[in-house]
Amino acid sequence: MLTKLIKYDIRSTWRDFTGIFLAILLGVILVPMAMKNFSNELVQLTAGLVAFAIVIAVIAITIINLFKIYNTNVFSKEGYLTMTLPVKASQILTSKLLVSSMWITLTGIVSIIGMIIFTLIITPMGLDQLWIGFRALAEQLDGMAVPTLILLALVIILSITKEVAKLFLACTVAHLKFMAKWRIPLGILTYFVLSWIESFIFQITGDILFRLSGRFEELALQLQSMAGSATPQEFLGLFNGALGIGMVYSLLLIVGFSALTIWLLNHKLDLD
Amino acid sequence: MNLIEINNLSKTYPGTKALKEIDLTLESGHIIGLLGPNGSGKTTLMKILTGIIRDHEGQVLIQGQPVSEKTKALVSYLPDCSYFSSWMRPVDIMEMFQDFYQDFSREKFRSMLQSLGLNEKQRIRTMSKGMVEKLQLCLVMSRDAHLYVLDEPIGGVDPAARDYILDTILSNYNEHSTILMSTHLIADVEKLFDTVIFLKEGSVVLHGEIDDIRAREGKSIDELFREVFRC
Repeated sequence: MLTKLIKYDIRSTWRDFTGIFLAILLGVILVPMAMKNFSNELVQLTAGLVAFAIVIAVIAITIINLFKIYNTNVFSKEGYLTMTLPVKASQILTSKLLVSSMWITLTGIVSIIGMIIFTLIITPMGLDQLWIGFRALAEQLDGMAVPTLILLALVIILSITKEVAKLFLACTVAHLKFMAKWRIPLGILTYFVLSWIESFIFQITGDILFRLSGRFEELALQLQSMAGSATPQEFLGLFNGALGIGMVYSLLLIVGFSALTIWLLNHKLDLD
Repeated sequence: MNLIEINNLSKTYPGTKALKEIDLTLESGHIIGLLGPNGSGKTTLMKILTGIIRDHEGQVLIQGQPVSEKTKALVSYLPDCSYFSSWMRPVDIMEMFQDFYQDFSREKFRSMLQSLGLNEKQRIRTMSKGMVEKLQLCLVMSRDAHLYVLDEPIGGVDPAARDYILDTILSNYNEHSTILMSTHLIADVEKLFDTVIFLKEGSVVLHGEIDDIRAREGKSIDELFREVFRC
């Protein structure tokens, strides 16, 4: 059932995200071409404004679509269909988390490709020069960077998913009956309160670990001295460890936010 | 086993109690009219049966199971509003129902669409309110469900289509399934019901077989309704 839910979540959103991707790619081709070919200040200013508008539009449409995937699909009239399907609330949430994270990640990838295209058009550097620079960097890191890059990508994706899970929880809280009168402001407030709780727990956990472990201070000093004189390989090792901790942190919060959302959907759902 | 068992069901909204300690047992093989004026709790009861409302007190069992994804597979629900996404066409929603409901019949759905003159490729957002209502009814009645929960199924359609819809409901009824239908157009559908439930201010004030009630009261259900709920 999960794969079927994912299929319909993708089908309901692919048009909007294809539009976003086309806007990005069109922008990164047209704007630098205008900047490069016209020395007129007004044209350059307009091109800059268009680029800025595209960035704002991409962010706005992405956020609107995140709401569409979850808020509209679950809590509007569409919820009469979604919430009467013979599937578990956990499957509905998992599908929406996966699809949202997928779209945000793809938007990020398209934006990076867009930036490369932008750079290639606006600077005299060719694609071959870019490749030479990339290979030189890879050689210097002696292949060690590959796992780090994979870990980094995973940490970024997981932290995106964590933010989406937090947003979905805030939406769910905002749809509790007693919140009906001030739904939008209370939803936004809930998101920020959750963020504050998250940073508070992070800080408390750090403090507790610091106090519990007698050797922690010694270890911190050792790490600090290592970071100062570490080889790139040693530094990458330390960095990988930090990324691993980041992954566990994001995973725990995704599970926590999702568990709360599922509980609310199973016990407090009340569609208008 | 009873199809529906409701014990001590209450639902409270801020400042009002929509359902008050309802106890109700319904068996398979009936066409039940759920009748009451606006605000009597009909839609709330239907939403609880279908899992749209989970925040309530008391127990609701469908075929002995609490409302969950398992009971949702047994219940075919027609709400009083359109639930389609803007991107959908009838052919898309048909595919979706086929994916999720094992008891959905594509052939039956297509045949009903054709009879009602609906185009399966037309975007639903371009359809009129009446067309959307007909489409939803086609979906709901194309399932071979154990329980059909129909909230005002003929409220927004023209009288000509009304007869077709009522015929459709009747022709899809079988002794293994139960239809629970709410309506204000009692005179039009009274002939369909074999059981009625009167809801007043969140409480069941009458529940029984329609022939017994007619014989006992000496009047039609429409007349009795007007008497019980006179403003």
